[in-house]
Amino acid sequence: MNHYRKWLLYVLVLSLLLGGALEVNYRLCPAPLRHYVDFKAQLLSQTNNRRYRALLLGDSVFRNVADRFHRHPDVLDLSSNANVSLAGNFFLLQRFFQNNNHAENVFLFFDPDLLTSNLRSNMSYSYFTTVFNRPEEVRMIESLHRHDLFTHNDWGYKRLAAFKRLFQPCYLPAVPVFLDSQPTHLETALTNRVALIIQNRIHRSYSDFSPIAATYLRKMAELCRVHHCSLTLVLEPLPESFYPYFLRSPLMTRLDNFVCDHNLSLMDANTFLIFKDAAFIDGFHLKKNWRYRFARLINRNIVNIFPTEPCPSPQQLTQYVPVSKP
Amino acid sequence: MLFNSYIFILLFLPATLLGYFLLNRFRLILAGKIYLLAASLFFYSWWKISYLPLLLSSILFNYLIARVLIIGCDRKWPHRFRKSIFIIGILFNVSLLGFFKYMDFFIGNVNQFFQYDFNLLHLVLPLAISFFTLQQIAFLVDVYEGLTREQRLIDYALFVSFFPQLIAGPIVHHNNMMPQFARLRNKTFQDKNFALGLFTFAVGLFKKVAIADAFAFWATSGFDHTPTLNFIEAWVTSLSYTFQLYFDFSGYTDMAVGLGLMFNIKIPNNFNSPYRSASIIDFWKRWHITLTNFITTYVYTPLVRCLGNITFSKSLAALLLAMFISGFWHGAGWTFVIWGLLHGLALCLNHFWRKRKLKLPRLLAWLLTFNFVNISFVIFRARQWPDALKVLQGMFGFNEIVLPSRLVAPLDFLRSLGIRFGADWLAVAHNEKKTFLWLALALLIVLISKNTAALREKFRPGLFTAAWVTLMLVYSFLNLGNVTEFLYFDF
Repeated sequence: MNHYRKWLLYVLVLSLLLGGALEVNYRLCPAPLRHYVDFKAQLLSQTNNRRYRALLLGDSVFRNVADRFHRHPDVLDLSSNANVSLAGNFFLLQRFFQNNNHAENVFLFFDPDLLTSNLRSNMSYSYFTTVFNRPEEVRMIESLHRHDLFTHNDWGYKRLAAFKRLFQPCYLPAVPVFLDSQPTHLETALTNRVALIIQNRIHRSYSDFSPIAATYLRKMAELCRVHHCSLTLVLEPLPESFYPYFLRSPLMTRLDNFVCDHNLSLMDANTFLIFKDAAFIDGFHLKKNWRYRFARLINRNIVNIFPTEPCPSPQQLTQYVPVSKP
Repeated sequence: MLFNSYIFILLFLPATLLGYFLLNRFRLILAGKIYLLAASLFFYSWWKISYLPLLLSSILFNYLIARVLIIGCDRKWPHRFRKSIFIIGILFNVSLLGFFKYMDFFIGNVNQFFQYDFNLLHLVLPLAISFFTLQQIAFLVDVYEGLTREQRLIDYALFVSFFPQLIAGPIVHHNNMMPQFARLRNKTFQDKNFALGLFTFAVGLFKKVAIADAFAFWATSGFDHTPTLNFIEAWVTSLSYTFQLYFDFSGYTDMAVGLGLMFNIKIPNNFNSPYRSASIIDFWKRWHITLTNFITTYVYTPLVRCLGNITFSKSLAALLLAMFISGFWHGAGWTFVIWGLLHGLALCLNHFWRKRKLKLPRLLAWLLTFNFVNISFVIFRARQWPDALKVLQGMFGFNEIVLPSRLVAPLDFLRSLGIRFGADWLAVAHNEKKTFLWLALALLIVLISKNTAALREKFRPGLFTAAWVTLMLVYSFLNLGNVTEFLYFDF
């Protein structure tokens, strides 16, 4: 065998060994390497979560803050992203309650787009379908929303399943991109300017909950009631120019009605502080120094979940001036 | 289909390699070529099948023109007649490119300058049209001048559409490629070439996935998502794009060269450590080498010839015009034109400098060249002129200079110079340390480490190289989920 053939053989063997080692690591390790939704969902089912008194759910806007600052021993942070929709949040809540009957409060931090998310984005494959696939979860979502998500009968889903079976070990971080589906809002955001995105949000019609959001928000409320736990909805920071439009939208009216009907609490971060358009990286997510402010705002006005308050620089402290909206 | 996608690496490439070498092993040479051609066309039409007829008709038309020119040469047709046929061929290619790539730009400018209101056509730029058109223009010129004679359509079609170089180059020359496709020795699987190909492909994939895509975040953040940039942010943005472009495009080229080698085809290198250049002339000998060669042979030289007696000033004028065309080839926008002209002017200045035998210390020369390239790439990257101005204003200190607030104590005296301290000193990045570490590492890599061609020449098949090729492959493979397209696909 010549040197080059031997070298090719080395590469093949080493690749198999390294790939195999990662695969074994994935199988044995309680914290999978795939992504944070998977990580949090797995930890939830594999560790003791009985000590937690409160639970935080939310999308990536809140996760950016919680991942960085949250250290409270009695509060469990299960924030994920909008791609799992409220269905994913409901399943997280359900899994949480399976091992915990002592929780007193659940906080759901939401952006209007979480209420209109419908599980048809590219990323829903990796963040939702690969995580929430227990038989009862699949049955529930298929029976209620067969047309609102990729089901096992979809051509796209079949392709994904075949592909994964053949080639993609489960530690791979994301799904192949050749599957056709709608781009996520974040993907759209990356290709546009922030101002344009905010304009698009202003012109977008936030008329109603998505079918998935409507169903699973109701289910979340019921689940919390069954477990004698309060559910508080917290509207996340919105760009200053978009916020008044959202307040006047039919979706906000429906949300108000929903909160009244189910006897829930609704809080609005934007009433404590005005978030300028320039505070956002992409029209959705906050810039770093604004995340500090949002964290402080949560601590002071909503729930004290950051026991050691994030310590901004002296410069930031002078900039932090809570402003109440009329 | 992207080189850095699961579908390409796991399905398309193995199937194409296997089919091609199996057919050749059974001495089905023609079938092997047809298979490779079909695979290349499949690869091309994966993005959008509606592009395929355009590519095929372009190949067919150019082949027919070339055949007529060859027949005309054999039968001693009048020169004027042959020239007319040749001009028709060139006009066809230029019109094709002009229509799909520049029509909207042209209409937009007519509307703006002459106050008309013509509707834009909103044509989608067919993938790779800039590259396959250039290759075919070069082919027609050489056929017309009697430098080449291509007989078979299948060989010609394969030369144009061979998938490793089809989408974003390197711009290959038929005299280099066609003999390689014809050589029988290249029809069999060769361990050495495959190993070198795999090595080169792994390096390219790693450059793209691990390095270029990391810089993409900061570059996009600065150019597209931040309304104003302070001094440090502007430099981070521009340097990020400069490194992103190099690692992205050279990564793509490495992958193309590697894939070619797997098929026993040597595709020319496109880069030779361009950011080490100490002059702009040197830079263009090292950056996008195949484009430079094309522009020199098929644009600059004919222009100089057209101008009659060659003088220094005439050659500079031809150079400026050639760089203008080069800039315009990159994209239908004034920013590309300005970028090309800037480089043209810099080249003229550099030639003038050389003629006067003036010299600069090497470090200063490098610093000037690198900064000129970096600043000119700001104009190249900007979608519109205000975007370029935004970054340039920041780079030249027209916006404020902000330093980290933790430096307030030792550097407080700088406040008197108008320098501000704040937590928002680098809003384009989420992790400042990481950003600066990456920038420093990238600078070290481009300045000190060997480039891929040099690494390939020194390649020794051993356990050590196998280990780090494996690491690069596995790392890249695990990170393919966040696929971004290659920058040069847009040109």
